[in-house]
Amino acid sequence: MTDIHASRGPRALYVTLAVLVGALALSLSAGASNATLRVTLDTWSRTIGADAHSVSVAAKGRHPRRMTSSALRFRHDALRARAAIAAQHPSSANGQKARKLALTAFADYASAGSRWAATGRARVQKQRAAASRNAAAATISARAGNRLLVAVARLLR
Amino acid sequence: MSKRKFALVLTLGAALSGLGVASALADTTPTPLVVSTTVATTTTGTTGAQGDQQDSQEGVDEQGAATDVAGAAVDVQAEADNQSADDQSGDEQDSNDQSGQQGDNSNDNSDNSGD
Repeated sequence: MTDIHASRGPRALYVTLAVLVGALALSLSAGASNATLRVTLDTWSRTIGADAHSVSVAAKGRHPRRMTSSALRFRHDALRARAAIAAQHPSSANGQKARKLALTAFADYASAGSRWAATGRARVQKQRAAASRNAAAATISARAGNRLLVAVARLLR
Repeated sequence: MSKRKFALVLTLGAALSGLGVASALADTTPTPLVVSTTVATTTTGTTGAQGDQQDSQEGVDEQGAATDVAGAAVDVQAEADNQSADDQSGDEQDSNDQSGQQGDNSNDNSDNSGD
């Protein structure tokens, strides 16, 4: 009888420790996946910001061709950012919500980049009405993307 | 004695695993381990890249990107609405023009297929 108790004690202890280690590993990986999303978002936000600055400089300099190429780079990076975020798998509810919003934000940015490029092309072809129309559409997409990106940052804070 | 030890270990285990699961399911920041590591790296310096890391903790990267994008939107709109001619001489000196135009065409096609 005492033998049975003596052998059951250590076994239960090992099982408890295994469960404990498993739970801790789970919690650490969950935190790590949210942190990875955060780092990915920070990295691509900086890239997108730099691209937007290039578009801005070209527009201020009245260089529509440069503006077009910068806008295409902006669009390309927005799509790459979207792909990088799509590859993330946050575990918490807020992380998943943030990922979903970030995907929409970068899709909006890609759309804005596309419209900025169309604006540049229209300016080169001296189609001012089309340029204004595309610029206005780009502004709407850019604002939508901005709202979402700031909301995502708040969620991951 | 061994039963007491076992009960103690069990209680501690339950408490720790509860903490671990709670931190995993928490809706705010990641686990304390990750946060403390980041804070340690960001508080050791005050300038340059380390300062940038601290900023990113507070969503400054995203806010900065949003500001840049908003600025670009305003500048592109102003350029689009401008009635005077563009700076064509400066524009055409850009070596990226050709690639930009080519990229334009290919991206336009992808846009149409995407829509």
